[in-house]
Amino acid sequence: MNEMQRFKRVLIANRGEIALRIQRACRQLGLETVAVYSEADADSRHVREADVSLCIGPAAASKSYLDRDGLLLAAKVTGAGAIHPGYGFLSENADFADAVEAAGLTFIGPTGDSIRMMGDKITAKRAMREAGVPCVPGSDGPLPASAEEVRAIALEVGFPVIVKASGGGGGRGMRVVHGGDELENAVALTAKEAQQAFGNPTLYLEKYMQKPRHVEIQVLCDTHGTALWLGARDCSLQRRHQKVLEEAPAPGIPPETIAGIGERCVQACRQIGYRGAGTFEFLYEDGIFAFIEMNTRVQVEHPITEETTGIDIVAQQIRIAQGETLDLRQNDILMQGHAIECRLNAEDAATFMPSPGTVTRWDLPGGPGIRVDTHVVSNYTVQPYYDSLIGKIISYGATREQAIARMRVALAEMRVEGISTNIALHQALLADPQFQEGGVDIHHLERWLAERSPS
Amino acid sequence: MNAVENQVPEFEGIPSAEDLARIADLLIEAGLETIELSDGKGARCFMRVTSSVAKSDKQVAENVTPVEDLSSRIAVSAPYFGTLVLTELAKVGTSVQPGDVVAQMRIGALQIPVLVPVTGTIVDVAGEDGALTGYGAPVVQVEPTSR
Repeated sequence: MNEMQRFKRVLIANRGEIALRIQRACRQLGLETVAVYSEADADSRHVREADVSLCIGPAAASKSYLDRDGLLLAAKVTGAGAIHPGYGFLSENADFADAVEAAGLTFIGPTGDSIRMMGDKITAKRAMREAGVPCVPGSDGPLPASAEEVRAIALEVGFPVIVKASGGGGGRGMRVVHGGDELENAVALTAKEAQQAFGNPTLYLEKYMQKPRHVEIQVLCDTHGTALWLGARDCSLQRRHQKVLEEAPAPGIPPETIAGIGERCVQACRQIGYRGAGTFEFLYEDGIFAFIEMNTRVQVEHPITEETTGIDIVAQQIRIAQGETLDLRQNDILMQGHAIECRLNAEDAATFMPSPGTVTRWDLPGGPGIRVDTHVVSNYTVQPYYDSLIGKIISYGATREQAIARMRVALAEMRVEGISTNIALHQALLADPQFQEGGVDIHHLERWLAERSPS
Repeated sequence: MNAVENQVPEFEGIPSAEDLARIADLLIEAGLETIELSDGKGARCFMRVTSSVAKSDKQVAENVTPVEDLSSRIAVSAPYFGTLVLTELAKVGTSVQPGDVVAQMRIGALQIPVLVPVTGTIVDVAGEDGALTGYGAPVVQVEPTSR
């Protein structure tokens, strides 16, 4: 074991498949693990296999996985030197990251300041724009009072545009404008509404993206100035803003376009002193990339990038936190083949309602190019307290067609009894000609579901 | 950090079954019968406990062989995690009263007492002195005294 290591024991402040994923990465790096868990997760696989396991509270996440003080005390009592937050829960909580470091422990993730900056949409967007990362084209500030000046901005951005209230949010105080003749009236109306609803008539204007795709760039940054991009993922298949199926790379987007965006992303990382793994999320339409937000953590869909690059992202997160140098250069990273991830949820196939219960049969697929990341074993009980993700099937192929074919075989092999799952949904999606063609937009899945529903 | 704060659950919607059980234990411990929880949005939760002491006494009275009836035993579990440090009371055969401290959960300087909720006799010590002990782990079992 390296004498220079900052920590030898990692507390995993999460549950489910990602807790097991982190534990595997720790083990491969020769590090010990501490599994902290709620009473509901006492029978979890990573809890059984950890070097130290400690029940820290009842099922309610607020009293276990979200209990910041409790997690710090658990690290203290178990002698952990670092905390890996996984995704969700406290992974993007800047105050927690600060508290971990203030306690003399290592937070396996970016600094609290980076998390804070990216958590605020306005500061995040400003920082990205300054670093040259493309954002939605727009007025870049409040609209001027003169109708002629507003028209000039709209023409430059290109119709359709969306006029938004500065103080608005949650879908309120905005109006889509399709042409110049509607513009003046729309601006006046929205300003009036904004004044009434938010007490602030300030408006801004953006290009309205009608049928964008969700394309994201994975980055890895060490604390010695190396920042790398690991290619793109297409996560356009979403239902109610929840990703269902992801793939890497994004079909139909030229590699040199992705390389250009990737370079901008890592440039931004260098400018803000970002460390660890991160993801830049974009909307993409008609060749235009528009930054939405940055996720300052490992993502659920990280395995598809691991498959296409051969890089263990979670292990790299831990190595970066140890203060090690990324022993890679951008030119070393070969993005090869195609990978697809199907998120397996314990949910009703028709209603999408969670389907907790005991898994009485759990036969996993296998063969070349198939990877399954799951914490579920036979007789495992899916708890009702947390999200319904029970695992991820990842297929890899030399081509997109091969990855799809392998995934279809894998889904057909998978046998789950005792709970309901969304396996049939994935099978139907993979058979959809539009999906097979590639490049569907973020509204496709909901449209497709609406067309399939009998009502 | 205050031990009692850790024991009283935050009121955010309908409390879970284990929270209700914890609140009930706290009520019994404090000699109270009812509690009303409310939040800023006007939600209210009203609870009344019939003392578990009285209930278990009744069970014992109805049972021909009360000593053998394990169902009347009260498990005292760890209210928090930490290193378990048993007190001199944590021995089989010790008579205990509500509020007696049978152990401390220690994390550094922090000490959280493990309190007995009823009058009775300790019939089992499940906790291991000096061991890292999780939330909810059994510490001792108390056979309530019949009245």
